[in-house]
Amino acid sequence: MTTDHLLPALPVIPLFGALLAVIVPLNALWVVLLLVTFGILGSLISLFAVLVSKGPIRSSLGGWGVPLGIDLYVDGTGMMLLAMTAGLMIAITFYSHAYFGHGRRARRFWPLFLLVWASLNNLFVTGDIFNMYVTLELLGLLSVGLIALAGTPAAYAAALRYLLAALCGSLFYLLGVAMVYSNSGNLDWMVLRFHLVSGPSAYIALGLITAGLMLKSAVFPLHFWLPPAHANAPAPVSALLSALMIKASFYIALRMWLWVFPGSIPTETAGPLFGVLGAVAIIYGSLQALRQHRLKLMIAYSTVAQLGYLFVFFALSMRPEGMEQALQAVVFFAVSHAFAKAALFMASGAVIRSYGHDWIDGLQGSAERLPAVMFAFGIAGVSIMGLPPSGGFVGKYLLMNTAVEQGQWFWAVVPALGGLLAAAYIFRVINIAMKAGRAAPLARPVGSGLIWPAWGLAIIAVLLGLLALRPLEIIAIGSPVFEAGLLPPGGAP
Amino acid sequence: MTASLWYALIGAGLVTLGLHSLTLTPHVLRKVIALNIMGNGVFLMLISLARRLPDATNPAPDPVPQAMVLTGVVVAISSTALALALLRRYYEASGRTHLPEDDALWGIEEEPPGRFAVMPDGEDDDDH
Amino acid sequence: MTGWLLLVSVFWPLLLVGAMGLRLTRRFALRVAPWAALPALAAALLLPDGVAVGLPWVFIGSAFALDALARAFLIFSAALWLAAGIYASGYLKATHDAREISFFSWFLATMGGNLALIPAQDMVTYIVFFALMGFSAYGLVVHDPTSQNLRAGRVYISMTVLGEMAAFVGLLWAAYLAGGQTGFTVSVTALQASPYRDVILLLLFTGFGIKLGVMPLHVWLPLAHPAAPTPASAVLSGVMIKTGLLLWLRIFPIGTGAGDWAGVLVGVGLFTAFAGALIGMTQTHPKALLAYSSVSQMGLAAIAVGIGLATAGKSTAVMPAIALFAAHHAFAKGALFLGVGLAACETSARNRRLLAAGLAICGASLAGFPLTGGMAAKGGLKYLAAGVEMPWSGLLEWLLPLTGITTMLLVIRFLCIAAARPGEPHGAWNPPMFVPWAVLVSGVLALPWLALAMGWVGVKQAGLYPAGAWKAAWPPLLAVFVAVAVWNMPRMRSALSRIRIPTGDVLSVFVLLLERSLALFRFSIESPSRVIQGIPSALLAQWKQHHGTLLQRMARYENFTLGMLLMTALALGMAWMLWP
Repeated sequence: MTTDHLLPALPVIPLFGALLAVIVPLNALWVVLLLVTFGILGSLISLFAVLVSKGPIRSSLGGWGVPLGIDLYVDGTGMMLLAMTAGLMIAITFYSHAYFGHGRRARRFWPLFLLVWASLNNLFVTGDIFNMYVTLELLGLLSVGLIALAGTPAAYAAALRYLLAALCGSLFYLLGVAMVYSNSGNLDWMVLRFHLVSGPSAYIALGLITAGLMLKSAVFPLHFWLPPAHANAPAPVSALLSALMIKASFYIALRMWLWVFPGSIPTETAGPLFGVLGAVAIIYGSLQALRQHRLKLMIAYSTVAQLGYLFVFFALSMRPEGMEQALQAVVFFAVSHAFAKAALFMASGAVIRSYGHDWIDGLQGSAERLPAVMFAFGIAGVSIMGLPPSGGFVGKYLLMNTAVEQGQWFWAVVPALGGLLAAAYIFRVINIAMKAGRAAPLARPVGSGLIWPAWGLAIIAVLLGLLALRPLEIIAIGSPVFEAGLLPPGGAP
Repeated sequence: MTASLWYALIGAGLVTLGLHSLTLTPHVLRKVIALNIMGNGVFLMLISLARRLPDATNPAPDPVPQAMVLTGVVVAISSTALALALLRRYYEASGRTHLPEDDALWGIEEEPPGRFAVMPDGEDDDDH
Repeated sequence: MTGWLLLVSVFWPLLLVGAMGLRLTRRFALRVAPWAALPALAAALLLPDGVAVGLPWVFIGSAFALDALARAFLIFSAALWLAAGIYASGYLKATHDAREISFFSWFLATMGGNLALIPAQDMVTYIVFFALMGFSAYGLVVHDPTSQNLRAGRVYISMTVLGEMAAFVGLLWAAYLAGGQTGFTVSVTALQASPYRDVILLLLFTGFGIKLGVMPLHVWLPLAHPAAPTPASAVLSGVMIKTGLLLWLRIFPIGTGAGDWAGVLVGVGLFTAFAGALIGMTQTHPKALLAYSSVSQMGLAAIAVGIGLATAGKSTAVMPAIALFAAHHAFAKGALFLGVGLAACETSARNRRLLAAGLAICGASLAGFPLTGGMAAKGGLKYLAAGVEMPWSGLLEWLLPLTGITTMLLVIRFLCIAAARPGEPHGAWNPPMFVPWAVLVSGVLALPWLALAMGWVGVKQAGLYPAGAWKAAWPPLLAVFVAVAVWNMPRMRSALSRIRIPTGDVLSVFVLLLERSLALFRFSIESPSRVIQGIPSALLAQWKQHHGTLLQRMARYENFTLGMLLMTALALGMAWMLWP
């Protein structure tokens, strides 16, 4: 097996899995899931070995090569996100199995789930920005299907709203891609920076692409679709959406702003705008989270706030001198947020399953009835608050450090305030859960299948902080931003 | 003015029209149609903004935008189908054809409630 | 190899917490839990000098080493944790407490955080385990979830988070000054050269001063320490508060003659030493009284650090003196707390007399009575204070002996209360409770001789000569005289006993301020319209009905149409902004 086989295998394996999941009976589905999981893990491990020993991996599909064909490319950042996807998908697999069982919805869930995995893997290995558009659309349509699985009018409305908004955002992105192509005659994000010419089409392209992606990643003023969509979906889907789907469009934005456009456009002038939007998102999202009466809506607004952090990082990474550290920090923060947020949604799913509702005020005494669930909630909350020793802590530490090193004190103050507010909304739930006396009875007991995936993810979110250095090194492998001006491996044509 | 620039301008006009209708009409069906118009505008621009236009030395048009538009058309068809199916479900479940916030925004009277009862997420009766 | 021995021994309690979580190993973990501090104690006593291990892949690179300071702190911390652990196994039986898994899980997590931070040589590792210790201790404080204890827990967790944040920002800043390096030695030098030194030191002073309990940051301490089960109170008061002291010693520039901060520390310390003892005397719960005594003693520790800052020449003598002081306080305060629990047990009159004698010895030792550990500890301080030029030095020579008087008065009051009010009756007196207590008391007695033999203090510093002994003896004796005199004046006695200061003294002021500012915050967020005074309330209600609160109104703008418009505006705005 060469890397030419391994790279395409990442999207292809779950794709075939999805096709099989349509025909295989439900009680034999575990064989398909097992094969897919081991196939992806095997490919990832071999790719990782190559990445560490030889640096970034590139392969041309069908031997066409740029500009006609599509190249696949994995560097440290891509590898980290692929690994994050695999880890979360495995945990969500177990959780969904316990959540959906062999019911009617399971039939519809599994093919969509495996397609999501295929699309995410494709996104993180592709080198082509039009191919990114396709995966973005795929992910959008899949999300809509998954949200609609809940089957309530509210979920249908949320899915419809998301579908319309996401399609429009993708069209903006596509229009930008058209302009990039007309400007440079190239679609490969590794080499585009050497082909793009400064000019009106580049500026308009950047504006369109950024706006479309910001809508899809729900950055502050464009977050209107996120809370209803994430709160009304079934719990495993909420975890999937909040932890992974959001990161997909964020990943494209990262590639655009750090790889494609620097060189032809003075990107650092946009830094303050991103920073301000991010800061407002942190404050606004946290305050709204504090105000919510439903657990899942609260967690969804917390996602709005946490995305704000990602864009504050973004503001810092625009400056050439802070790029390296900011890139490491932003990817690391995104990964640790993914684990913690998925754990929170899983815990809330277990709460809904056992109480039949997720009204925060009705959770009195739940720490006594559901100690394992609420404890997982608390541990994941530690990372969301950014308390040591969690991954969220290290991410925030790096953010503040970068901000201070660049002399931008303001961006160091915002995360501190955001951490306080996050502590307020997490502790609000914990406080009510710990309240003794007249604990509401459980509608039904919670199986361990809903508990230990949440535990696993919460513990990983905390452990990430303990073992931060190695992931940070991996993120840095082969990123051309560190050697601006040098051709990336594979080179320009 | 070259023919390709003319097409690009028409494309831009279609995008603007579509965006206007998508944003400012409350009926979801109209929004879906608006999205399709917008998409067609984008495709028109894609073709006309191609890097290499056919000329005397190289009569073949640039294949990359063609491939992109083909892919885009497939995506547009499938997303339209999904949107229509979802809209039907939404209508059946709630009796509405507008997004909930648009009713308030445009001052439209509440429509009658849907035929089907609300099934909260926790009460998933099909898993055993 | 020895480095790994050190790591395993200090992380052993944390491993046991993990074992406690698995059904398979739970019984084993529960059985060895009382002895969990033993490996750390053995490591501290047996490992050679200069043991160090670096773990570059943990956090942002982490390092552990057993230097002289870490060894001293590890010895007394592990010893008290061990004593408390064994005591706890008997205590839970005596109080018929069935929740031993819950208790020992928190106990071990707290212990793991405490023991692991002692050899830590970089700031991130230190604050991580500091946080682990601080947050796990919450579980100990609210182990018995009465409403009073839950209130104590709330106060405790708020102050802990506050301290954590101040400490975090301070350490982050210090790391930045050191060019991103987090090691203590690097940052101390970097800190000295920086113009921001005072701000950072203030943050660290506040952040770790909360743990140490210097006034007025002590408000949580007299509430939280009595709330925990007795063995947990002993370690809370005996060793955990000293993690703040350890960080001060690591990061404050000891022995460089930094006079300005010395003045602050000595001033705050003196105030804390006297006010703590005086407020403590008005308490009625023996454990609350002991907690105030800890506050007062930590005031003395702050004075010691202040003196250390001001000493330019005698820097080698500073660390041993402070370490000895901390070790003595750990043993004496630990024994006093454990004794409170023993006093509530049913037992023979002989045992009661033994207990009274032991408690009296520990109390007298706190006041620095001759031939006790306290005399050596205080003697070291006085010796240091004698030759130092700094703002308070003239006053200090007079005031230090006076603290002996207030401390002794507090101790006498404690003995009276403990004898009169033994607290909720426990079960039978049992060896696992008695033996650790007895060992601690003998440790208090043996400490001066041990210190002499090990060469930590000289004969002169320890005051082990007739004139020195008299110097140490008169303040406690005077206190006894005063106490006896007051006892024989019934009117004065009843007048004094009527003075009551609520436990946590200025806490109520804090709470009031906090509530007011929170109310203002909520007010300004939810209804800014109400800021306009004079609007009739009916009108206001109508306004609220129609428009809702600010956040509600903002949430209403989260809709599809506005989102689309904003996206278009953003696309055009971005292009316009970047246009050259």
